[in-house]
Amino acid sequence: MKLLSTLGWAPQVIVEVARVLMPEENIVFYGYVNEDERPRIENSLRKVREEVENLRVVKVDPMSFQDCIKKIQRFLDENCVANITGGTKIMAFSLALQAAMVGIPIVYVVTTKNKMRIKTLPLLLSLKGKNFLREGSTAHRMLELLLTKYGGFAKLIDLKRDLGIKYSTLSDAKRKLMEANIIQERKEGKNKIIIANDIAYLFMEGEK
Amino acid sequence: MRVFITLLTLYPYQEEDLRKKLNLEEVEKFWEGVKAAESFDKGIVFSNFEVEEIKAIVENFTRDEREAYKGIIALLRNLNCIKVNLTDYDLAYEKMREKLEDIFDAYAGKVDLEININLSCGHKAGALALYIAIMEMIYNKSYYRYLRRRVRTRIILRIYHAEKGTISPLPILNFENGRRRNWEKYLKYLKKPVKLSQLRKDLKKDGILGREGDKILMYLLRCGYIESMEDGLRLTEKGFTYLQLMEKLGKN
Repeated sequence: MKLLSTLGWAPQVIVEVARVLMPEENIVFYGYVNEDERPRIENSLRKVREEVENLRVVKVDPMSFQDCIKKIQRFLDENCVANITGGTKIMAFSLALQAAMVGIPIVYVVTTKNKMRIKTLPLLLSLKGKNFLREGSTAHRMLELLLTKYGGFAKLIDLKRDLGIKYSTLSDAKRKLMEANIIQERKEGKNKIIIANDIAYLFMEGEK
Repeated sequence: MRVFITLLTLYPYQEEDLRKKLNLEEVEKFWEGVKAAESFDKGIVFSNFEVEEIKAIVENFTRDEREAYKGIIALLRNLNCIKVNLTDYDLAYEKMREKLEDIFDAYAGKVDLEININLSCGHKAGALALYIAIMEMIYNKSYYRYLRRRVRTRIILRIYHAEKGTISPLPILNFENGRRRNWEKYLKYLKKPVKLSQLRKDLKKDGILGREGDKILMYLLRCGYIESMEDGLRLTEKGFTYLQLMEKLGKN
């Protein structure tokens, strides 16, 4: 078992889950919002280093979905458990949503009257119906192209040319991606510009 | 109908510096969330505290905190403030889902409904509960069709995290709350590879018969927790990890 955890000001929530689950590997994601917060986070990280074995720490930008998602993706596999108790909401959401998409268990710690309890969080991507973002779908290909070739910012006409598909097919994929809050469209003169939201990186295969 | 939904908490910690920092940040995030929603006809706030409780607690805080919450308290009096345990996912989910059902029953498909949801405030478990509750409403209750642009009465859903001047949208996808099934517990019967007939017998001991057993089996297969082999079924790596987790939490 590999335990992925997001760290904030409270090291206990990482230490406790690691103590109970005894994973072979602990990956802890940490980061500070600003310099004022740095000493607290570093102190928290020091305590985790003292008490958790087989530890690897990964620094993230705690306010960026894109950075958190990309870095978490590198470690995510079917052997993982995600502990989302610590860190910013952006860190926790990045880990939770990716875990739900892969289908690995998510846990969090509830503290009541100084007693910690580990609870599971039953979040999953529905197995019902079609997933318009399945690999190979037009929406997935469009998103992949947008993120990998154009860095998340492209003219619609360039995407159409590269994908070699009819405008109506592209338009349908674009609509679905927009409805899902994954991309935005902006007009610049005569051009339609497609911009990926940070969360779009959830749907891309990370670098391992 | 424009609806704004947010979470809100306040930190009653003893350590003043820490408490003040967290409370001032909470207030800032709250207003950023309100600003991102632009305007609304109906506001709903899920909070660990009722308005009067917030008012009473902040009385003992620093002047900065009192001033910061003053504006929120004034606004909360005109909104629907619902007390929820924001640190417990399950408790929060139930109440939020109930409230969302009321809103959707009243407006969805009848008038244009714009919902802005701010997830930057409150606690993580509560924020995830709100996110999943709204995703379930959209997908499991088939409101998805109203998200399309070319329908007579639309639902516009914006769900975001607003902090430090950045608004980060969250995806609208078919995420769901798996608690109502809780079928992962049956992985215990697959510690070793088993024949299908044996698994059916084991499920029967738990009162699971016929089609219900098939549903569980299909679910575990589709989740990738188990796989078929020549003469039976076995756990996958994912299934093994899940089982290990449950055993370790059970012992705890």
